[in-house]
Amino acid sequence: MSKDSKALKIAKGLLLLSLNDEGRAEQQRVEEIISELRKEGVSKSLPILQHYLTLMKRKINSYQGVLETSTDENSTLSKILSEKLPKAMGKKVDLVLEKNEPLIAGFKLRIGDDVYEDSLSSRISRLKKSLT
Amino acid sequence: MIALASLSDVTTGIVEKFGVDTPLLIAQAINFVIVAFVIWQFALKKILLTIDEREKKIADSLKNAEKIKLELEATEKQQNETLQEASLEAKKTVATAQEQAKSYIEAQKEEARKQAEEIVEKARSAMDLERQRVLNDAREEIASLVILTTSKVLQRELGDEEKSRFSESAAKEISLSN
Repeated sequence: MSKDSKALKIAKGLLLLSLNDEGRAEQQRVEEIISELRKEGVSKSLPILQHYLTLMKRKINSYQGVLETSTDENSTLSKILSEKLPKAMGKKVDLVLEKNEPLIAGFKLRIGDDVYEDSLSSRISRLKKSLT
Repeated sequence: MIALASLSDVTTGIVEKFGVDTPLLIAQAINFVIVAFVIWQFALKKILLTIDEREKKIADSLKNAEKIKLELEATEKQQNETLQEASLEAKKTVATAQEQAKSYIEAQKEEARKQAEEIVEKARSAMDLERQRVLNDAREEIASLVILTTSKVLQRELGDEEKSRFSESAAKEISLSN
């Protein structure tokens, strides 16, 4: 077994240790794992940390969505999407809000590799394409 | 008898009158014959033979001349025919050459016409393409300006409430299934 695949195997084990009963990453557990890895030294823990970070991002993206809007107040929008997402995805999705003024109005939702967008900006872009 | 005697007398009288010496006459006659024979044998015969040969040669020459004349006439006739044939052939050749030259010129003209048409067609296509490109550029530029203006106006004119209302409406209508 190569050094890298061994590090990947360890990272996968650490990822499982980082998740709670709902299959979501727990901040405290993650901090503890990173703290323990630091003690092992940079040269030994770096490959494991790199794999751990990649796996963690992938995991978080699977249940966390980024909701971009142009306004600060989005409670109703979040509520509507939070109700629709479990039905569409078959699982609960946490939404992280980000402000994106160029959208003008509407929203852009990223979940993993999927992007859902309905904003004035995208409509105007479509209009531009149809015009040209 | 009497008559014969009288004739003999007459003859004798004549011979005497003219002084003819019979033996001399006979001798002269014999001499003449001998001389005539010698001349005939050694001169006249050869001369006659030569004359005959000459006559024959002349006759042959005349025949040859006639033959040559006939041959010359035939040759002239043949030459005339050959000349006529050559003339006809030359006329045909000239006509063919003229025809070929005409065809060649026509072909060249046709080729030149085609090339000219191709050049015109290419120029027309290039112009069409250029016009289309300019139109597309203009359309894109105008669209960009319209879009930019629209975006700015919407950004400025829409209030938070309207933006939220639009977002909520969009969220209700969007389909999230993969």
